Amino acid sequence: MKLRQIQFKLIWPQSITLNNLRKFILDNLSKEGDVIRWSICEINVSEEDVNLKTLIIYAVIIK
Amino acid sequence: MRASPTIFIVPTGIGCEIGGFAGDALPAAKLLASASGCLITHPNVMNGGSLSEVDDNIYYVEGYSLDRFAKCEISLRKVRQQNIGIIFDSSIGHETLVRHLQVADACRATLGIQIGSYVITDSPIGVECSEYSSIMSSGIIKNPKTLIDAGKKLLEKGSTAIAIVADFPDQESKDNVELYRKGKGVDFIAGVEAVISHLISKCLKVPCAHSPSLKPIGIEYELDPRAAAEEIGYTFLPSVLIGLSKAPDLIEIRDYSLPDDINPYQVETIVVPSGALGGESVLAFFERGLNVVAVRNMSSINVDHKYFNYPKLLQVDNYLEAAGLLLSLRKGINFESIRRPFNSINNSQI
Repeated sequence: MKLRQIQFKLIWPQSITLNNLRKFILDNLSKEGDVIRWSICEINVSEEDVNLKTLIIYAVIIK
Repeated sequence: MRASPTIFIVPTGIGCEIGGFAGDALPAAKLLASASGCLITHPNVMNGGSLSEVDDNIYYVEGYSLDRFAKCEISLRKVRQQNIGIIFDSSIGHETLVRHLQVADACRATLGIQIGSYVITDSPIGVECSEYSSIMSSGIIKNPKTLIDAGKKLLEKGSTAIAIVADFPDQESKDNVELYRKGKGVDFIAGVEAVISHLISKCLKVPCAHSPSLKPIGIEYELDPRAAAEEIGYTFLPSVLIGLSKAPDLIEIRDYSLPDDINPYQVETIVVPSGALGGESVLAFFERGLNVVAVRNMSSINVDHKYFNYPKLLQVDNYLEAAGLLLSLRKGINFESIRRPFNSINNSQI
């Protein structure tokens, strides 16, 4: 068992509402490993399109 | 007056102006607990090194388990007292270990806390602190298995809650420690502390909390009062033992519930710093359509209301205002009736 810190960018599609944002993130995060701790630590909004948001996720996982 | 169970979170290691130091959100927690009648919060809020308090209206739940509660995976059951077991990192020096054992004895003799046994890990836990882009502290441990194995031994001997004391690298020369003691920057070790306790919560599913073992450092004449609780005594263990002594049992939601259990479906509101809306509990509250009270509490991250179009996101300027808001929710008083400007219903036709 090893712990690993990861950070990754995730485009927040407009089809993903607040109701399923958590599940959307975890579905992507769990591909990396078993999640111990995570949060959205930044959100970047595109200058060209305000509806285009990128989530910056920081996590510690078991790999 | 019926309680309105409320979750209160101040994320660990993001330098919050209130709650980013040594249990300095505890007065706010007591206020919010008075207003709501029932507050569920986590060790980072309650632990002030040697200082802490037990409040009948406050439930002490480690962060990983608190997220599970917010996601409706567990409920909470009040206990008379927990039987605490302590894990000590094998790399802690003998004199420091004796100091910690004396704290355990002090809590038993003076406070009547039940501490049944302790265990030393088979090998060093291997704490490695780090920062993410200078905005939040984090880190990992090199040997998670030795920590979990030690926890299993305690549970086999009848412990019902686990305190963990991990050995931390020398802090004396670190610039960020100096800044922290002066009331600036993030608590450099807090992030990895959360990782350690989250790991035990995830794997062993019992109440737990972490206390770092640090080598003594020189006096700081410009010490920020919010960090002063960590300058008392030789260890930070007392607050962990006090918190865990009455921490609620964690009951899987599918298991048999008792009438007095705090069920996650009873919870109406979460209170969080306004820039920390990107945590799992808050996102679970968005899903569930519950109140999210965002309190202005400056931190190093800025995931705030402007990114989320959520009608039940209520912004307040401070914890005094948050307490008033909780009280109005608890009493069933429309808080909009107290705020100005007050819009006519003429504007609300659908």
